[in-house]
Amino acid sequence: MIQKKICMLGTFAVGKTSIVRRFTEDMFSEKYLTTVGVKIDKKEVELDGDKVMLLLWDLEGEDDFTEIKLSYLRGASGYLLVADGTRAETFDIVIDIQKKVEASLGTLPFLLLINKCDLTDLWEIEEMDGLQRLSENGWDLLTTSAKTGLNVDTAFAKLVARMIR
Amino acid sequence: MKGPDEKITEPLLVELMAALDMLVLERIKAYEYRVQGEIPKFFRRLYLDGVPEGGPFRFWEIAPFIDHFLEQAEPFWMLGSRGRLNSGTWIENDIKGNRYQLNASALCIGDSRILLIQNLSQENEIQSKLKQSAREAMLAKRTLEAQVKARTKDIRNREEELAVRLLSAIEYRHGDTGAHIRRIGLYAELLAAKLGWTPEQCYDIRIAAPLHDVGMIAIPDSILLKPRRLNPEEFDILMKHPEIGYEMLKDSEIPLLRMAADIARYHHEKWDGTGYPEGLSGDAIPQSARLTTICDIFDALINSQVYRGSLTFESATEIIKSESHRFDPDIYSCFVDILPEIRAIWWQNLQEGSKGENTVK
Repeated sequence: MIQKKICMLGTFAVGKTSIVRRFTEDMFSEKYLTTVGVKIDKKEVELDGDKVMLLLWDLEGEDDFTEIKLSYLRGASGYLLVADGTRAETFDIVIDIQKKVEASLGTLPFLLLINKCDLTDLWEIEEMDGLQRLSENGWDLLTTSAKTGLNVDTAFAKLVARMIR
Repeated sequence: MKGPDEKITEPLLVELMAALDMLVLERIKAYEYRVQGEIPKFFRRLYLDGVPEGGPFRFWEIAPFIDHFLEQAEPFWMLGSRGRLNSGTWIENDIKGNRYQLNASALCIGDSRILLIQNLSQENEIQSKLKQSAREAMLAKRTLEAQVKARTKDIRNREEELAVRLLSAIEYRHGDTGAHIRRIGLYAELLAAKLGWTPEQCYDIRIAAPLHDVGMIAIPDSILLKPRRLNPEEFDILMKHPEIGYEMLKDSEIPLLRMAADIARYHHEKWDGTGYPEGLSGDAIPQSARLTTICDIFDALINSQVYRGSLTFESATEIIKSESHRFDPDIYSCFVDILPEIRAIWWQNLQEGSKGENTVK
């Protein structure tokens, strides 16, 4: 079976772990539990009749004191950048992370997920005026909700399709 | 030194490893390892379902993180490096959902290549709790800030609505076009930003500057709308509008209205002291009023008023230049710098005006 490594990247509390949990177990918890280091989950998916085992590397979110260890991305076939729609600054952080990853590993398939779209009344999307520009520059964007499950499977399916391609 | 097939059996070492909750493995060959000493409980719970006692272990199927770390460890061992290569922390859950924080290290002891896997859950507990608390506190602070920002925006919107409704009254009473007085606010905001005012102050002057003529409400129609030149008595009455405006707006708790009161009172004062009502000069005139004066005069020049036809943008610029001694030199200089932006606002307003949205009366 083909194995593919996917990394989840973004600052803390944007919902990386919740997205993985929704995808692997179809579950969600409101409680925030910060990831320490890395957590790896597996999920088997089927793509065009082929079985693919996804290794989902959920990396601890960046903050002022914690920087992503780029060595953890070695061997990754793609990555999901996760921003929180209710915190405009998380969007700037994923842009920064993407630059670092690209500088270190070269071009890899990725998607930008704007998570927590179940909280649209709290969204600071108007302040994220760079979104449109990124979209025009070829970034693939998807709004997701780990809570409702909206677009979570789609996000992984899109990324895997790009990785296999 | 023990032989190649010997295991650690010394009671002291075995107890030490148990106390550290640590598994010691010795590399047999690339990606194959033999257990030394006892296998700790955490390792059994996490990885040993169906794995034969004593190994050898191959990690790529049971522990992807360790396998990933071993790709770094292999060259470290091959070089016989000194010190310790650390994997960093990773998390594993056992079948019951218990969470473990683990750490792996590679080191060389004599000819032996050693892999240590340690359960740091207890050791890291306080550190993890601190990190969790710090992040929760950051999120709570962020939420509070967002709430304050939203409430402030609400208050600002209400202030703006009140000011705009007051402006409507001036428009009806004075005969100025709504577009004219709003343009003054937009010019003043630009100019204030150019002068280095804070965003809050720039916002305030956008709303406050258009209120400069609020005192006109108290001037009789016979004077305000007189189509011919005013006589001296009528002019004296007209010149009272700055004081009246000030009386209407003064002593407010709202910073925006306090600024508007200053602007209303002093917007006819001139830098060279030739203005009214008090004949102030230079810095004695509040900056907000000095700034509004140039915006008001310029916009009046380029737009139709009761007494005269409008000028071209270039002619108005020339007149302002010839009268520049009446303006604060710093403000005049900044005003000249932002003329392209002012022209853009004026032009956009003109386009909207031609669609019939310009005039109130």
